[in-house]
Amino acid sequence: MPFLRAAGKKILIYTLLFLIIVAFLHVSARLIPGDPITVIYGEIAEDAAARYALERRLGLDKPVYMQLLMYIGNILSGNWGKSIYTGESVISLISRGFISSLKLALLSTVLVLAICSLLLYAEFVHSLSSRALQVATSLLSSMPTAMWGAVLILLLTWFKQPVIVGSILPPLIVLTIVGAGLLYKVFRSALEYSYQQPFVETYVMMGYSRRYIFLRALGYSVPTILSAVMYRAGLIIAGAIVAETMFMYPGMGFIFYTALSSRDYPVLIGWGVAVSVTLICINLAVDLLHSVIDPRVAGSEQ
Amino acid sequence: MNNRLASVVVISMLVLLLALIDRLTPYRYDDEVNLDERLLPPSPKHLLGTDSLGRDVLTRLLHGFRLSLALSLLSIALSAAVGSLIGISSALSKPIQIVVDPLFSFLYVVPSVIVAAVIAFTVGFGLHVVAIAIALRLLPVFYRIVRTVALTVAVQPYIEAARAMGASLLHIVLHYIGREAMRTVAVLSIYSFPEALSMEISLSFIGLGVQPPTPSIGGMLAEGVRYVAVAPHIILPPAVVVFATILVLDVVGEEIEKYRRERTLI
Repeated sequence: MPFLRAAGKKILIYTLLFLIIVAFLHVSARLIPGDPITVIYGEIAEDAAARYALERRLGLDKPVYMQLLMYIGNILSGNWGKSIYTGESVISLISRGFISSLKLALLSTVLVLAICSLLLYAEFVHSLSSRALQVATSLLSSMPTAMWGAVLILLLTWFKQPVIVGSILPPLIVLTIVGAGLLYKVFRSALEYSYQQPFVETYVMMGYSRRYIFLRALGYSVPTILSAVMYRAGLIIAGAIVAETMFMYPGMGFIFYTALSSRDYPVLIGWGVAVSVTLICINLAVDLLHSVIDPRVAGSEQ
Repeated sequence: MNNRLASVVVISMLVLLLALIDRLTPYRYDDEVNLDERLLPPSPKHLLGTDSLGRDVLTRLLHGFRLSLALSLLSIALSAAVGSLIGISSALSKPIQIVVDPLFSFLYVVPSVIVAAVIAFTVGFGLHVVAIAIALRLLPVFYRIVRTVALTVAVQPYIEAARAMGASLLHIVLHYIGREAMRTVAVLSIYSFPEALSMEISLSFIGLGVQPPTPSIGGMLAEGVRYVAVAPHIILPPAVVVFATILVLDVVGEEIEKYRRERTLI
């Protein structure tokens, strides 16, 4: 049961981290200029009696640690509050955005994986010039997402294509371009490392085809690649803010943007909680998967 | 050698241009609203046209570009200085390392947008949000690399010799560890530039960074997206400027790295 024990320990650490983040969000929400009653209810709460009633209803008359416990309880029971502007409950807003972003992240990850593998296949098996590929991909990745979005929008306007609000295609294209550039570097160095392993030399001497060796080396670098890919997917689920905002794709990033520009605090805090849960879960999944795929990792932690 | 000469020429021209903006253009960049001349296409009077409030796009672009570059430089300098300081002290003292290490690992995985949002809502919106958010993003990188350098240098025989000859800790830190760390920090700073610039653009684009009416590349891109159907000339210039800048930074970074390697070989 060493694996289970290691997994349990990690889950414990990450749960603790989650609680710290929630406490942090709770405290920083308190640091926002203006008290919560005015922020949530506006000018209605001028009357002292009404204020007191509201404070009791929100539990603001209780000590801080009790408030924090109540807050965590609310989050766990799905009571995340309501958007100030639309009145929709934060949890339904966030879950809708989460599903859209999940779709975007999955599609973009699959595309990036396919593009990177094809490029590397061309480079390692068919000896395509690596210098040109490296320059191109480093350019792809070092340009900010906003610039690629601008280029795509300009192209769409040029060809008289309307930008369809909520369409998944434009943000997908932008994220895939940037992601392919970023992950190609990681892929390449992982693969180069695999090619330096003695087993590759053995395969070469045994006369296996270049394609077979490529696949073997790729398999060897899967753990490294996997964590990079999953981490990026996590970031997209958490909100590819620029890409989603540019094309008004209704994911987590767009939710954050609209909540930010209307100062919709309950949504912003809910977003922060959802994003930290997502990133923590992704990190946990990467850790666990890593130790399943690569037994050496699990072994080293004993 | 060609690339090196070109780098020097391009950078000095850029500095000259950005220093002389106010002399070059007859327009002001923030409060010169002229609604009769809004969204005009490029013309001899306004070389890159006008924006949604009738302000000259070229003027705003130059000012925004200068601000973006200055903010990136400032935040890199900030995080290089703080990161080196903490990195060296963490390499020399175990208790500091125990406190600082997990903190920076955590900071490294938190998306910078969250950091920026927390700063903006607690301290207030403005230029400082971008500067601090970028600096905090780069801080763990500088910290880790400086710490590694300091650890490698600290065990060298010449440090031991210096100590045996009675050199104080301060002397060793300043003259041996610090000097070695500075070389690495210089290269890392240049490599961080595209990232810092990208972050500044993204933060200003989503409204967490430079606030209107102050122009910024990210803000202009956001406005360009809004008006792309009627006035595509607003979005093109900032996009071209970003593309060219990062291209130049790539080449310059490579040249500096080469130059450094030649120098250290001698």
